[in-house]
Amino acid sequence: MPPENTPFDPQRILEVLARHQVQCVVIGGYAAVLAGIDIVTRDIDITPAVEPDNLQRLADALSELHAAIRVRAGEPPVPLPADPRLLARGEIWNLATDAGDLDITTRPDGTNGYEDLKDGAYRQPLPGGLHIPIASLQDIIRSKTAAGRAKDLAALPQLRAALERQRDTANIPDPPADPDDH
Amino acid sequence: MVSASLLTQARRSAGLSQRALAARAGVAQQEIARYERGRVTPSLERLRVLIAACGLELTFALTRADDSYDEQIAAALALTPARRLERALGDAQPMQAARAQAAGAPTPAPGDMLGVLRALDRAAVRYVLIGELAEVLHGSPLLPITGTVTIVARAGQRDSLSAAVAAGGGHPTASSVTSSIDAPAGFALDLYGAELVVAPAPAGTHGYEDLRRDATPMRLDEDLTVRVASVVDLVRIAEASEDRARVPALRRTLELSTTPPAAASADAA
Repeated sequence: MPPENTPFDPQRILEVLARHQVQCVVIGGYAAVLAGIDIVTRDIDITPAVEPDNLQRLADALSELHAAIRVRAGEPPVPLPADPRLLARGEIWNLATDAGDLDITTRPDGTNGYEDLKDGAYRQPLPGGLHIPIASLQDIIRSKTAAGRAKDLAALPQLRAALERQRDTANIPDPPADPDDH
Repeated sequence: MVSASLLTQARRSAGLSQRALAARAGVAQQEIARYERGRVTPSLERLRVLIAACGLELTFALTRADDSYDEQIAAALALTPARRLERALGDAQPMQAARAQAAGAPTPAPGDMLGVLRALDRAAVRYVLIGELAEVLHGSPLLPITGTVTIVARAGQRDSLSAAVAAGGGHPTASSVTSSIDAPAGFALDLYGAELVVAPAPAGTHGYEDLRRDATPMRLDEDLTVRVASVVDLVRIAEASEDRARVPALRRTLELSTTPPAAASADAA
């Protein structure tokens, strides 16, 4: 079980996931910080594909990271059995690992999960020739808008400004107006 | 304690003493004091009247309950401020490295934030620490990833500040200036791999004297004690800034640092 106040090592979490060939997309604050956002906490959020083979690879990766289920502040995490059938039963897993906290969400708010996010994702290189898919800013904005918590809504102006910068840099035209938007 | 901090924040933003607010609202000064100390909780209607007397409006919105920051705030509050800072700076490094890599920039060397604070101390600069380091020292879950030390310095210290900047191999920069700071001066301190922003009066405040009143001296090591803006004042600054992205984390930090966990959860629900 990971010790309390484990140093945060997101790179290691991502390397382990990539080495086990887990199909997933990194979402949340880590994905946002790569786009230049300053609001980030010490955790990684991923959305995995939910096919049984992939959940087996995810279970193997979680086992290597000594993942345990975070219960509540001040209480020790509960060991997580390396069982893909167990992972298939939950949509959200808040885990502590020996490289920091890892939150798994199979269907982030406003999305239809991995298949929905993977096409817009870009690949972030990792050491050893590995890569990990990172959710696009558009998809992060979509998810945070749908989540609707105060912290999600408060982050939207920074995210939208970052998206504008990306569009300016890439010279991408604005999307067409929503036909329902009069 | 939510109403206590809201009222204090509103009164300070308006630049009013308790006595002045009491006169405006037609109540006794002792009543304001009792509310702000959390000894008595005002009714919602009473709180709206008092905040209106500060020239502000208490608005309401229903959003999803959110306890996602609580674990990390609780873990930070269990540590000393010095340890909170040490841990947060360490945990921020991989994020800074990943961001630099994503931008195609070289991996930055870890900034020596304590070095900057020591340089200010050696030059006898009188200041109140605000910004991401101050937030972390109070237990905020947001990682300090900008590599910036932000201070509100007492007026008339040009020579002391120049000495501190010179000691850090500093030169002026505009890159660290944020929208929350009113006409700040920014310096890149190459010797420490950090930036120093000197803000005369951050948005929502009236400068050094305003922030000093409630600032807390925090001991970071045997030879270094820093005066840190109160978490109420950090919320006030974040609320007044154009970019309010830090407000939810700071407000929750304030709630958990002043309220027993069970009561704070009830507030969040």
